[in-house]
Amino acid sequence: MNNTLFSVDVSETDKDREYWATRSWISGEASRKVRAADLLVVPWEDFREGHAAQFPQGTTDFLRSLARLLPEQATTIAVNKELFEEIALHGRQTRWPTIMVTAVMLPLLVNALTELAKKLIDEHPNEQTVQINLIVEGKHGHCIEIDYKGPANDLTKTLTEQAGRCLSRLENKPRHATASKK
Amino acid sequence: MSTLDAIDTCLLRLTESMEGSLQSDSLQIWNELESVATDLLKRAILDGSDGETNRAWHLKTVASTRTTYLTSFQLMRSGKYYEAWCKLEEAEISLISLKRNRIYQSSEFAVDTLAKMVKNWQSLYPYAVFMSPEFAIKREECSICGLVVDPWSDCKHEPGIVYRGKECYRIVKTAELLGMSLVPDPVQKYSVPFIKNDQGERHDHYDYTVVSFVVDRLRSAVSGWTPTWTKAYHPHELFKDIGPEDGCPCGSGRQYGNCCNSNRGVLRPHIEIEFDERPSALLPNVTLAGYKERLSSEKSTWVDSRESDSQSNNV
Repeated sequence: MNNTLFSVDVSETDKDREYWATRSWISGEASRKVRAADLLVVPWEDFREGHAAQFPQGTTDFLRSLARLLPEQATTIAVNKELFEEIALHGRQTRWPTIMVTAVMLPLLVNALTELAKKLIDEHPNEQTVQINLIVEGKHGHCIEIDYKGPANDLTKTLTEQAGRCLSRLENKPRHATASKK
Repeated sequence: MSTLDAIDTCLLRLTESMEGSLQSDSLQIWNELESVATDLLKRAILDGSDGETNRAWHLKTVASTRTTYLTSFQLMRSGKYYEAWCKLEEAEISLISLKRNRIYQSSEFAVDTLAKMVKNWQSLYPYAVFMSPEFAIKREECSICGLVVDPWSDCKHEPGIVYRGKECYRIVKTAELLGMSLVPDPVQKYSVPFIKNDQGERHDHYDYTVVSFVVDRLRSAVSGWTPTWTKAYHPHELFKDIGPEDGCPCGSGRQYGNCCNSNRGVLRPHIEIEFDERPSALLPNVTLAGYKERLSSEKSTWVDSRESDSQSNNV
């Protein structure tokens, strides 16, 4: 049995905003909102066979919290209402959904995540593991994906550091040349 | 008597029962208090304000949590360890609700102290892995307003928060079971895997020596004790059946002969318990857990070789 306690994986991804707006599980008005959103919550793709788009359990409450903390920002979920489905996974850890955000909006999102992480730590001190996948849109359409699993109190520092470091590396590079991984 | 007066009377009774944080360990008293608080909550839901109703919920939950904890202790005393484990989980969940819906200071009802005691008991249990199901949740509803809960819903209730004396939770209406796994940190702690005997009945194969060591030495369910997890040398006599080329019982992954064999013992997990009240002198102050299949005579030799005048006991 392998129980990961801390991991950070950063990679370049070609799954940009247009990709999420044109999936089979989204159409019409929902696609338009995806293109216009400040903060976009996207599904886990084909996470389980026969389930093309799923969100971790608690996504609804997470979205509400995010909207409450960032009332000025347009927050959207990239799926049609009738296809929304959450997955309850094994193990006691907090799994937040994948969020797509521009580099410009990232500090606001990090502040909101800091608030949510504080709440988790307050309720379950010393035992709260958080898992989140963050897609950051940089200049020239470059996107990086940060996959974090670890203590809640290290989350926002790690996301900020990795996003800053990796996005600046990509700035002068032609889009989608090669994938880089830390 | 008005609802508010009834709440104050109940509050006073609960406070008196907790004089000095964790004093009363009488299950009878706490059952009675729970009954009073439950009636109070029913009454408050009918004619109380939102604030009064939530205060009544808080008092009822304090009483029921204490009853659950005391029941758990009694079950441990009577050797029903798994049943006690389930009660500890119930108490743990209620304590999280109390902390999330703070009305009184948690020190007033020893909520934090009790949460620590529950955690300490859980740490003594031998369960290492648990069954955990995986579900695709297609439709769920709010327990308070009954509305469907999804990102487009108008429901404003938050799970875990108390509204007019009722805690909000989600009711899963449509779901698909996707799989089952063994995990070390389960959502449901009660899902302990057991083996079955030849008759197909559940057989509890776990070694509860550490739990019984502590529960036997406590004067009451509310007596204080503190565990300290460390490592200690275990005598080589306990590992006579392990050859020098076998894996070292310390778990390092190296051969026994190249690892602990040349040391004064095998470095293994060890726990020291500090009791606030001195345990009975008739009970040994050291015991070995996890070796009962291996031998018994060496156990007594090792136990007898330890100091016995300390208030700190070892497992």
